[in-house]
Amino acid sequence: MNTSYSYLYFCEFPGKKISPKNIKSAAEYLKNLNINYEKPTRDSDKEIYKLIASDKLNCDPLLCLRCRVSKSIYNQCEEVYKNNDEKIDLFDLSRRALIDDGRKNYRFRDDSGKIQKYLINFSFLEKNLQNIKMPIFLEIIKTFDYKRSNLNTWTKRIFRGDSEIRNYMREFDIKFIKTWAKLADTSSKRIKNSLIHYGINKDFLDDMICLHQSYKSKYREAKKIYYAKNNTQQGWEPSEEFLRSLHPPQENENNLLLMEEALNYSFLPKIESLDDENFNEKIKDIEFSQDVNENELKIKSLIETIKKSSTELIKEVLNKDKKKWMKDEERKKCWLLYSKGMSQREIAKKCNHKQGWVSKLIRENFLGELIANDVLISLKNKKEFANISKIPEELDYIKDLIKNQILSLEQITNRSFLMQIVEEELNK
Amino acid sequence: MKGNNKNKSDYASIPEEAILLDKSVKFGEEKKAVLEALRLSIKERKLNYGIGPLTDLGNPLKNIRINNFSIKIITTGIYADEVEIKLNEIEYKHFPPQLILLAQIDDEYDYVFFKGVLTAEEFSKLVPQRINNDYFSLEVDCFKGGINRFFTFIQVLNPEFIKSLQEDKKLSPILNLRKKAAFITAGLTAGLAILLGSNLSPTPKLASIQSQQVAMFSTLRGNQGEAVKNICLVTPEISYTSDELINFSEIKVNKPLIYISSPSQKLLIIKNGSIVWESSEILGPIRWPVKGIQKGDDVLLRIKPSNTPIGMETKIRLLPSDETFLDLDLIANGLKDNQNKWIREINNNVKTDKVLALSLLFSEFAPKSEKILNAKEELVENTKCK
Repeated sequence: MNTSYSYLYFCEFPGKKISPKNIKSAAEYLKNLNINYEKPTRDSDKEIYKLIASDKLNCDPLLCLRCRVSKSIYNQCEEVYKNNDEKIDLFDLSRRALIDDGRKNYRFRDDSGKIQKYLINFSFLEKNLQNIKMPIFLEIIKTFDYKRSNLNTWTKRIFRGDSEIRNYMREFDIKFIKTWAKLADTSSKRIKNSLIHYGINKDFLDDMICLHQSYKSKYREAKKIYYAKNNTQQGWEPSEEFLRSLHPPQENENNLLLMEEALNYSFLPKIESLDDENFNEKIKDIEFSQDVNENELKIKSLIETIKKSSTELIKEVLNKDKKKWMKDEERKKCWLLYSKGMSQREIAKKCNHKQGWVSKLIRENFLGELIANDVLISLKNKKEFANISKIPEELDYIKDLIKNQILSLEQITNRSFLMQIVEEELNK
Repeated sequence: MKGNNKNKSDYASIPEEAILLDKSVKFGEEKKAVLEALRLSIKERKLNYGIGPLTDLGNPLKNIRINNFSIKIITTGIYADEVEIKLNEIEYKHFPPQLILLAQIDDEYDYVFFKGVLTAEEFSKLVPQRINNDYFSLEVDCFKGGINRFFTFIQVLNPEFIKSLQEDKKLSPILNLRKKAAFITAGLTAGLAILLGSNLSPTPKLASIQSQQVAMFSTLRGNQGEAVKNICLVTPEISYTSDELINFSEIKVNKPLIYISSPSQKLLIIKNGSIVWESSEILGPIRWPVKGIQKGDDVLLRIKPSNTPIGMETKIRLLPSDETFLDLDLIANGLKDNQNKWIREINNNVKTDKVLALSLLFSEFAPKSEKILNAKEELVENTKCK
């Protein structure tokens, strides 16, 4: 017997694991009605949903769908984790999303602070409770429209729009790309090129370009209305009315999704650190040692200033962080390993943390930036560097030079100047 | 058609330099979100810069000022590959931008990502030769260096040496004609100067200008009203100090230069009872950063040391003169790009109205000639707080 409608996925805190548990009343409900699906399908979801709606006071059919939703949510968590395993922890994410424990009651505090208790049945979902945020599993069922999509797709949509999930992801610098915002932001020129590259035939192309232009022009107005109604910009989805208002009118989202697919095919968005990009491109042309021969005085003055600024800043950063070392020894270890020249990935492994934790603790690029600016401010008053306060190109050039000196790894020691300064400060 | 690769591209990293906002981005208030992001970034970097003016944020023409730079903020969505720039949304007359900063906003994840900054000169080079509509598009990738380049610029560059967008030929044809005429005049003047010797060409005479020592009073209970220390003030000039310890300065120009030469001062401009401008750390001359003063306006400057948290301040009330009250921009407009005219006007006013002379010298419309720049440098040197 398939257990999709009778096993609930939930988080077991003692063992920090996610496992399905049998919900007896859901299983019995299905047994009594002699319902046994080979696997969950769009039709089976629809059938259960109809049972819930026809038996409004009964909690059991809704429990069956809750079981099904829990699996869907778990799949979503797994997918996010698989794609971002270096940054997030599966259990940590799941415990925010798999919050259904199978109880038949839902308790919450109302505006006056009193605890309200409701049976979780269809009748409860129909109530228009003001100022109450539904838990994600109930939000999915409450808003589920089987005519528009299957339950998995619906779950994905609600999961990705959930503020708790979004805030968690944001904490680790990951986000779901929002199709609708992406289409609205993209220029028609890029859409056209992507569609051609994707192999859309010429007759269809003009219609698609026209559709995109119409989408762009109506998107902002639609968001304005949505904002006025919901007091948030988050979670806007094109309604049927919106789709019909487009030119040419659309019956569904398919053509818009096709545009996104074409965009993804030709362009995988990868927003990287701008500094890395600039740094790598520009710094190739700059050989610090070349300048040594050209202007020894300039270089000597530069090195001295870099050393002074780096030492001061690292001292301040470490002193601030030291206050946390009693509680969390891993932080000290992290700095130590960094000073030895280890990469963030290696440090993360040794400290039993995600790489994201390391990069948040040792903000190497940001530190390099602060030091470089500090150095530049000191230099601008020196005669030999007077031009950096007048000519932006000169300033860019000298800044690249400084950052290169601070952050690039030396060939012999395989450590950067910054790593050495950290070591010196740790040894003091 | 090709296969689906959707899963891979469902996610994106929030860039390391993105500034996460504490509050949601409100619809139509994108500029406010950008200013908040800048504020957070200034705080994170422990810089003492104020952002001004904070009024009329909905006006796309309005540039902001940080550390004496005039900055145009352009906003777009986070996924944008191009940004549309409307010609009628660029301010040329009063505070034309010296830096153009592109901010990309993610209103779903509530963060601002500064794609990069261009100097007015870099920006001008990117403007297409022909603009058919009232806008043109630029690829977002043209904006370089992210927030880091921006902060390096405003910390290290001297705003006096950074051109403003006003001088752009493609964007401002009228200005272009004016500029052309000025070039011819300048050419003739230069030619004459070579023929007749350089005596015809005047130089600014600012040696007589010195800074004034103004008392900073304690506002703490117990020693309230006690003069604690002095600040050095070049302009405005203090005429007298009232019993309530407020300094009064009569001004004859609607946009007086504020020039405090003591370091680490915080300045607040209060107009008709409301704070209209605030800057945490000012050093050196500041062009009047808000709308010009009108007769009848009640304008109060409050100067506090930014490194001492409470208890000291100097108040200066600006009094528009009953006799003459001039519009600085009008005067500047009349002088056009003629360096000699500028210098003569400055010299004529040095003895009679120091504030007007210096407001002209540091005006954004003043020619960026060697003589003017040298005069500014000399003045800064001579009026250093000793």
